[in-house]
Amino acid sequence: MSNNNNNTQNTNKKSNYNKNRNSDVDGDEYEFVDLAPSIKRITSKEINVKSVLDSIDNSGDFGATVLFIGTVRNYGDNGQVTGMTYEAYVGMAEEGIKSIEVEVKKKWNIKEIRVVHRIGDLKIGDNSITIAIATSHSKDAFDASQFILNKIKQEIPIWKNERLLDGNTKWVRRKDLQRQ
Amino acid sequence: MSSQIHITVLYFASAKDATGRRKESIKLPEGTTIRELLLKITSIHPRITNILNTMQISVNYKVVVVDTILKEADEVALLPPVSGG
Repeated sequence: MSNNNNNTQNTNKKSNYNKNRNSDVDGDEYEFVDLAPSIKRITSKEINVKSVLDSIDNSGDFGATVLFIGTVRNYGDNGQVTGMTYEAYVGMAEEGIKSIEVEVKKKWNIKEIRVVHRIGDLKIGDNSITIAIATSHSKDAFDASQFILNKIKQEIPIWKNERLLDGNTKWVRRKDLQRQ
Repeated sequence: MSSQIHITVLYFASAKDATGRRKESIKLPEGTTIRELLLKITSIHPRITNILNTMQISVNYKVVVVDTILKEADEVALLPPVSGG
């Protein structure tokens, strides 16, 4: 098993897992606890980029804000793509993104971070992920933004299913992601 | 007779396709490990056997090793390789 090498153990680990919450298989049933209450990290709704930016309160000590927007492309390694369906383990994804935010704040001098990933059925050109980073200096913002995107692609339990021109659907594999 | 525990198993992406379901409740003997649970899952859903070795397993949001012992009300998820972004 691929998880044989992982030393993380279940016993006595603290987690924000809540046995009493509703199932988070369906994203809309999950109750989010967020540092920025108006912004959910995982959403089934269209991402409002202006709201994401407006939620960052610039008190005057930011020198740079980098905004990354990932969009659904009309082609992939499996051919022409007509749309994409994103699925997430919402609660675990939310916790994972929070952990990435904490890690990023330790590595760079970050003022504010907003990460929002959309799930559900998306059309070509739709915004699938938005990352906004505010820092004192621009290099930190660019570096941190790329770091967050890479970590999400590698670690966060979110999956994309391509809708192909021939009517078939295909889960995107890690190999397919190498150039994305 | 040993007591039993009740757990929930969640299936995502290709795991959901292979099992035809998003979640199910499973009753197990106390002391059951993840390894033993996976054997049970493959007996219930043989189609998952070929892709099981590509997956990570989480319990209550934490990725775990297969020797982990399950507890009452644990939420187990089968996680295929991720592809967000």
